[in-house]
Amino acid sequence: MEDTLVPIFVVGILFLGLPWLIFHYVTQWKKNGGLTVEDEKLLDELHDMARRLDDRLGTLERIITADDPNWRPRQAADRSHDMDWRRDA
Amino acid sequence: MSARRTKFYLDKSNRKWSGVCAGLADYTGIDVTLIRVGVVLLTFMTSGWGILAYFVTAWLANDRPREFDYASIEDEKFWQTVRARPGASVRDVRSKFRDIDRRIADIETHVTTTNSALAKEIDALR
Repeated sequence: MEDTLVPIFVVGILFLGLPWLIFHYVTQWKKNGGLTVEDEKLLDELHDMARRLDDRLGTLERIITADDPNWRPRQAADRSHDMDWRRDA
Repeated sequence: MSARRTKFYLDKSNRKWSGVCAGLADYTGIDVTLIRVGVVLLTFMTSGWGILAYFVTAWLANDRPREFDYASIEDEKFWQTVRARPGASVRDVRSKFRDIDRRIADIETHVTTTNSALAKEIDALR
């Protein structure tokens, strides 16, 4: 009795349970983590736009700084925090 | 279907053989030398299967399209984050826009306040 049951269980786990587990996680990972092609293009565009706006703002800020060196209303704490994310970005 | 940035590509511009390791390095952001050493070690440990995997990958994967050449290191890092954690990169872009908004607000405040200061001075001269 035991000689026939054990192989059935082992084969069942190996060839049915394990692939099911793997595919279960693969589909879940795809559902959560994946971007569609449109999302990807949108993200690309937004990232590019953010960079261009950043450049333009940099130019504007330089112009204003040349005009009036301490023009920024809230410089100290706020700005240093901003610089932090820009360094690791 | 159009080409995607989140796919694995062979990187021919930094290749040693076929660009599999360079492609992996580009995909994950891990240093290319580390990946090469890892692949060699894996080949020794699996008694030669690594080489087979290498050539199968080289045969199956496409070259990276020219239009995906990165403009800067920052760009490369960005796409590596997109591949690993898309949500994090979306939040990153949002934080950039927030920063832009804040800086524009600063500039706006400066421009409007200096204008009113100038107007007051002109009024005082009258």
